[in-house]
Amino acid sequence: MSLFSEDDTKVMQFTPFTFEPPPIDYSQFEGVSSFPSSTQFYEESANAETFLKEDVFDKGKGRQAEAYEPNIKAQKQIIYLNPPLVYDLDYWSNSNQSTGVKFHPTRSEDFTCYVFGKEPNEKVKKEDYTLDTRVYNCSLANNIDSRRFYNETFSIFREASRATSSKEWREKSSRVKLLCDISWSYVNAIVKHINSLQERELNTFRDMMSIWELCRIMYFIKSERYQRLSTDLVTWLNECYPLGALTEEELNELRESPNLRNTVVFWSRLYKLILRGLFPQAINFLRSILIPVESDKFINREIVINDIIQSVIKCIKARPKISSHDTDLAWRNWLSQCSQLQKSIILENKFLEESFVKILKILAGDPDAILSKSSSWLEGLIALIYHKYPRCASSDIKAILGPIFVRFSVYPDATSQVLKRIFYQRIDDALGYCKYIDPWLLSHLMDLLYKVDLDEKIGEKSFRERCLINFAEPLLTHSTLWQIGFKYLEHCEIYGKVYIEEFIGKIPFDNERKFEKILKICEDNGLIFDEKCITTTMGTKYMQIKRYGSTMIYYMRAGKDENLKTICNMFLTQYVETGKITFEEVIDSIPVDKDSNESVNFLSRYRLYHSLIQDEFFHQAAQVLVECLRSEISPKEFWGVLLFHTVPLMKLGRRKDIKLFEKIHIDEFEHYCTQVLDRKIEDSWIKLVQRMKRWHYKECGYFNISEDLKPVKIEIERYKKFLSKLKR
Amino acid sequence: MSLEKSKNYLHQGLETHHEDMVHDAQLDYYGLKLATCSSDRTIKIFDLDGEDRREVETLKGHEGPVWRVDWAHPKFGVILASCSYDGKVFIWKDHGSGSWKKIKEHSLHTASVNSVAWGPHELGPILACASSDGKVSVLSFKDDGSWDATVLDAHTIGANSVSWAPATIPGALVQVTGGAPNVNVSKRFASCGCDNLVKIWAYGEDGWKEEEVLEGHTDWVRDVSWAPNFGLPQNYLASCSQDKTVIVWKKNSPTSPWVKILLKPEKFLDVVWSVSWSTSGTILAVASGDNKVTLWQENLKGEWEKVQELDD
Repeated sequence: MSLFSEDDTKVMQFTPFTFEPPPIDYSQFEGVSSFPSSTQFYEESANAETFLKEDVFDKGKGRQAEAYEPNIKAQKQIIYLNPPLVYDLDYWSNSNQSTGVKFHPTRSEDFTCYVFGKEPNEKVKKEDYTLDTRVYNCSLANNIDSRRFYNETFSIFREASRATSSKEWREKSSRVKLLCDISWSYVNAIVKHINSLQERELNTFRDMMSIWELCRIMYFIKSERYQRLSTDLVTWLNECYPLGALTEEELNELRESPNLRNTVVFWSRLYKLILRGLFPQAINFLRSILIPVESDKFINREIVINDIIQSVIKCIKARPKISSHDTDLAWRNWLSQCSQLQKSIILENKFLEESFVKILKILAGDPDAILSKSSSWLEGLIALIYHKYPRCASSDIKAILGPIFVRFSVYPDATSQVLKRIFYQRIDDALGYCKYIDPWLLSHLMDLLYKVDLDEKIGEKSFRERCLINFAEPLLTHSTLWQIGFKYLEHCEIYGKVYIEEFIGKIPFDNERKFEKILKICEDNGLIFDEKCITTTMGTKYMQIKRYGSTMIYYMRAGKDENLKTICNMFLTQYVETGKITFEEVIDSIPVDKDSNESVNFLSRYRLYHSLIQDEFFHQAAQVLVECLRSEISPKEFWGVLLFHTVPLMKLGRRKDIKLFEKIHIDEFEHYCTQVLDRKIEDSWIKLVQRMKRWHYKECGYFNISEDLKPVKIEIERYKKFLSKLKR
Repeated sequence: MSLEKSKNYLHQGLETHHEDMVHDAQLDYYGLKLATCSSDRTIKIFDLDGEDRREVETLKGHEGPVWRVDWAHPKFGVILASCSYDGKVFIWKDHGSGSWKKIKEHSLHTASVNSVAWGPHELGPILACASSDGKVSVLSFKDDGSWDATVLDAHTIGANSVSWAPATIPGALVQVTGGAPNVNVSKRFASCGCDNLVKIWAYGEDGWKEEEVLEGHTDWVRDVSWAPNFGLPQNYLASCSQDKTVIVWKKNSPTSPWVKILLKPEKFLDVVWSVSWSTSGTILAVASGDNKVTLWQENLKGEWEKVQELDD
């Protein structure tokens, strides 16, 4: 919530700003596939459009897949900065204004643009420019609003990293299971996320799911005994690119049809169901055109047709399961049945005869029948695999693709290109296109593929890291996902540490909890210099708001001796100026021991001296004073002040006959007097005494101090006599 | 990828309320504060807190248009440097609760100071300034609170911009660690000027010395920007000029020479005024006088191409 009310004029509001990309020239797409792009395929309404396109772009015009490359370069474009004023090139060239640009200091995909004056206003006329005093923040990145998804998938990523060092991983059979489990966890996370998404992101995540699942089928399951490829592919097709519902128009045609058997829409739908292996639905469809006839009547046309329908249903039901042991023999027998049935169908109604034959041809794996009824390369390919090559392996698929791409072309969208390349077993190229879909997909899919020993095909290991880093970088500056971002970097052996080092200092922290989390990352990664640097920044932040205790604690942690000395000297100066101890609370809040910084240690001892005096523990106070002088931890120009403090104690000792100082101490005091009066510190000493004089005698009524330490020297002599007297 | 997805250019305009042309806009180290400066002789400071942008201070003191501003690393405090047409460089400090004060006035230049840039924090508080008097000055803040200034003859007619090299020596995968900032640290900066040159300055035993002169532009060089380095052995420097070109200078290793690569073979339609690298040093943003901002990336062949989105 803003601290300021809405009517506060100092609160800046967002102002609209437009980038205007030039219109896309759709004519650059040389061929548009008859198969809708994945995202369109989900929409029922898109079907009609698809078929329209089918008419425009005749089947067979598609080019060989490998010869076809989407014209990505033609789609590159300039980002036009276009403030809401009418500008043209000449205007900009001749006016005193230009566009300036600066990248964001922490986010690679954000930048600032503004209109700046080329010359100072002293040199230009007012009409030479139109004042635009706004600054625009622009971002090429997506808003990260999938926090839960990122959190969840990071856990899977971490599990996947751990899995490679497990016992199961070393055994081939259990490795496949592990891989499939991991892959399945990712898909589950995507599916779960899809349910919570808006339409725009939905398409991207659906594309991601279809690619991920296809990779699982094609790459992660590699057992020689795996014979479910065709079944898995058809399931994949139906799940990821389901057959759309009938359009209203098609439904009307079916409703209004006097005889479904002669309705084109009915058969079109049935072909699709057969192509896609959706047999229960296909059987229901077929049953719907059975016409009840009384058995005692002589054989008529309807009974013949009913028999054919029943035979086709029987044939469909008899289709062998691919995974059964006697598949080869069973498959041959079944194909023979199909063939016989096909030959036996002779009807007056040629349309009906052809339709039944077509169904049987599709079931028998006739390529022409399959491809002529398929709407896209993907549907055609999977149907061909399912019906003609039900036992093929993933490596056989590229040999099947030839006839597909003679008939169909592929949409230039990234998802279609990725799918095509996966079937071609060109995973390196496929990943290259994944980057246009989503960095999450590219990084996580690549990471898992590396674990399947596909690194030779994909490229050097650093490529995996680059992708992970590209994905993780925007997370680093995210308010809640930044820690996950760093965790990803920790999984990048080559460049991870450099990136952590570059970014860790750029994480803003406004509370101690976040600060400690940042330091933990430094500690875990051995970033001692950065840890000190961040701790210094924390100290400086407290310094700015004059919380000196915290400042000193952080400077002590960072080993900033010079900064500590400055703060301690500031307190001592305050004492010299006013005679007041202003650092009691500050020093009491700092844990000080003998290893602490010298300046802090002295300040702590000096504070102790004053409290002892206040509490009239004169003996202990005298000892602290001696320690402070002996250890020489105080600033040299402050020695004189300490010597002044000895005067009232020596006087007190003499007056009360208490031996507060030993002879040796007195000798030392004499030595320090000589040191203070050393010419090297003469100037600063004189200034100090002048400041101290203001309050020492006049305000507080203490003895009159002087630069030559005369009162100290006099008292030393007197104290010496006192000691002699005591000795006697 | 859907068409909608690629249109992610979020753009938020912030009205600075300057009374004259803006000359520079600079975000602080964390991107949470914005400083802008203007021909109205003021500097404005904004707090950017999520969607709230709040003007917190207007700094006055310069006697001419303020050209550039630059934030120091936060470990030195909330400190901003500004330079002006009045030939002066000011260092401003926030003493807490928005209490900004000028803490240093650097007036060794005899003409407009066109650019200021703080060095990498590993080098301590150190500031480079470029002036129309043809000189470049380097200010170093010492522990006792005093400043040390070195003035260098750099570009005849005038120096336009300065940019510091990353402190890490390129290729050093593990950077400065263990609290020893003087080990493996590069102390260099680049300057450019009206003599059509880009110069590299390095600090050695004898102080600051001109290390290299890069010739390639045929007119005044307006801006120079040294790319951040993330452990790669290459060093990149971009310069843009009145000659309507952008040159990317590439040094493959610390000992190899600088190689000149034209960002694109043909000229831009107008003078190119500013270049800026992304945080990771992989994208170069170019702003030219024809009101266009383009983003560029190096491909695997070492050529520079405009940043692309598949279906933009």
